[in-house]
Amino acid sequence: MARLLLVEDEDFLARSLQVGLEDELYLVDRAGNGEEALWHARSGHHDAMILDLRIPPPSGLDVCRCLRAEGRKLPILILTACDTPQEVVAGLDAGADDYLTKPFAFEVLLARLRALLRRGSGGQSAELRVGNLRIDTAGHRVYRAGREISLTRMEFLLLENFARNPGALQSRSKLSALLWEDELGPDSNSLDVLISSLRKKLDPDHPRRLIQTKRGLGYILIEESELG
Amino acid sequence: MRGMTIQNTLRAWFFLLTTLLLVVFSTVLYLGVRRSLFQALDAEIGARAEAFLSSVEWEEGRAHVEAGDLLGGAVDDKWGVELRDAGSGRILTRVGAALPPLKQKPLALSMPRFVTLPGSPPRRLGLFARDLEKEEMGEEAEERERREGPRCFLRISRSMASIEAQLAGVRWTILVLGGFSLLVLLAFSLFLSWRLVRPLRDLGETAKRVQANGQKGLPRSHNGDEVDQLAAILEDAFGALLAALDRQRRFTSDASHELRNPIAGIQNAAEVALRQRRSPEEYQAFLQDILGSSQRMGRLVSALLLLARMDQGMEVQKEPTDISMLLAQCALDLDPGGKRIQIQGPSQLTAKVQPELLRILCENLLQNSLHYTPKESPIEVRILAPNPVPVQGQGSASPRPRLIFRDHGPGIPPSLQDHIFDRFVRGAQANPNRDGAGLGLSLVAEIARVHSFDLQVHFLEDGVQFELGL
Repeated sequence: MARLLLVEDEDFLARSLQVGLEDELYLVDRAGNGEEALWHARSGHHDAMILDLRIPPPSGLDVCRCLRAEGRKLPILILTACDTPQEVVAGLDAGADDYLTKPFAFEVLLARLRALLRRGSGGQSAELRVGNLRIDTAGHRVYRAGREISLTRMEFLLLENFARNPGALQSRSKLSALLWEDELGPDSNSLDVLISSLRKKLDPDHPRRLIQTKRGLGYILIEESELG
Repeated sequence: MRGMTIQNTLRAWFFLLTTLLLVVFSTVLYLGVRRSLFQALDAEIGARAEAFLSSVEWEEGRAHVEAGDLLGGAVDDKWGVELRDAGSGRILTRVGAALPPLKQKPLALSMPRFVTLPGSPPRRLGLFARDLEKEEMGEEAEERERREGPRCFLRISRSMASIEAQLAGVRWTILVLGGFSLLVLLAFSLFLSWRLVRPLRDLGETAKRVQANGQKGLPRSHNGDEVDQLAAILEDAFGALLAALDRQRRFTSDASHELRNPIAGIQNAAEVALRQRRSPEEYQAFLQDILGSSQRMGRLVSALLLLARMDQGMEVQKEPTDISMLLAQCALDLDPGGKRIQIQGPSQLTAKVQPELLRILCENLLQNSLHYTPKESPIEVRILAPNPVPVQGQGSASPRPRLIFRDHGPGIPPSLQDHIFDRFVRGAQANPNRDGAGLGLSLVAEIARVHSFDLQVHFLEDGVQFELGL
């Protein structure tokens, strides 16, 4: 699941952006000025950054130049009200990968982000395929036999983890740690609830479950071919 | 093409004037030549008259003339001679070409008189009077001549064909030379006008380029002539104009940037909110953001409108206003607890101002102080009544009421001190969600300007002091 760094000093805009992006199953970290932006970006946890140019110092352009000078390849999308050709050129020349001017359509922002993440994966396909299951890791969309399945964030995170390691056993504690950054989770039941809702969405009319329980050990995702 | 008109006018005047001069000179020259030719002719006629008269032999009142002798053997059509009796007008003798009849009997001709007779060719006629019995003239004869006039007179004429021919030659010469001169003058006028207008045209061309792509330099000869002075003036004017244009462009760009942010906020919040069904709490949060953005935009638009109106020279409707009351209300609105803003001064002080604008001014100054200074630091406002007597140590009287705003904070960094009244300049610590767009102090300066208030800033180590002379 892609983790984004949102650098925007306008609270009114940043809040709705964050909610919108989280609805699209992205993990979002926010920074309100250049310093915070640099601090977050240097952690190396993010897959892409949405950067406003006019922020409390250092400015968006300086943040961009600074990160590129440090050799960081973090994809950067500049989202700003500055729309003159010179400003766009300056932004892209400072090392940004894309440039979008405000006001913008949220759909366009999402599409640009997906494109950026695909490129960011270094030519690697942003798609995971396990049998007839297809997962678009940049766009956070899941298809089974060509039909789109709508998942919540937790469900997607869980499924993406399974799909990256098809046929491998995933222990309960490992899954809990992944989902809640805590081995136990909110309570021991939560994982069961999540698995069962995922199963309901994934195979409502398929004879065998994709995710199988290995009692006492954990869960395993079975490749479609094995299902016969 | 205004430059072309100047060039054409210059050409026309130059050509007209030189042509006129040429015509006048030619005419004077021609008349002069003609006059001298006539004088020479008249002198020749006079000489012939003398020769003729001295050769006449008289016999009982009749003259005997030997034609061959008289005119040096050259009696032909050129010459015509007539000697007449002064009393009867009878022709005594005649030689050469016939003369027209005598129209008027000349009397008392002591000086020769010359006239031109029309004809082809015209003839020059001289009239000479002479008492032919000069030798025998005693006192009696002189007395008679004085009484009766001369005894006889001579008409002698000469054909003017040669003079006509000479004059025709002169006319042709003048015409040919004049025409040639006119052509030369025309060419010269074209060149001169082109040469004179060229710097102007260059200036115009450059001005066009300035207009087109903001180029600043004009072609300067730096020789101090009129065109160079004009170029200098234009350069200054262009400079000021371009600077103003630049400021305007930056202002527009800044304004649109500042407006795009809240618009993007509103649009995005609405868009995201509508993407899926949500709980009432979530909708509420989105609406809150939309409201916040709208309010921000509203404030921005009001400030921009006010600035634009003042830029255009808004008329200020001043009315007597209680300054103390106005300040107290401001302080109450911005600092309801009354913990930070401290007002000192008379409880009532009336001055003629525009109350709405003064309120905006005070609010902006106080808001600035509240935002940029630590939470607990006091903001002092002092109201000084007008003082017509010079204050000791201050040098001058202060006939205006004065307001002094003093805060205690980090002050303004030197890099920003020259720009605090510029539009869209914000302090580094400004939070765009809470603070304005950097228009507050520009509003303050503009309001002071339209009121002709005396606004001064003192940058202190531990804060800023604004002094406003109403």
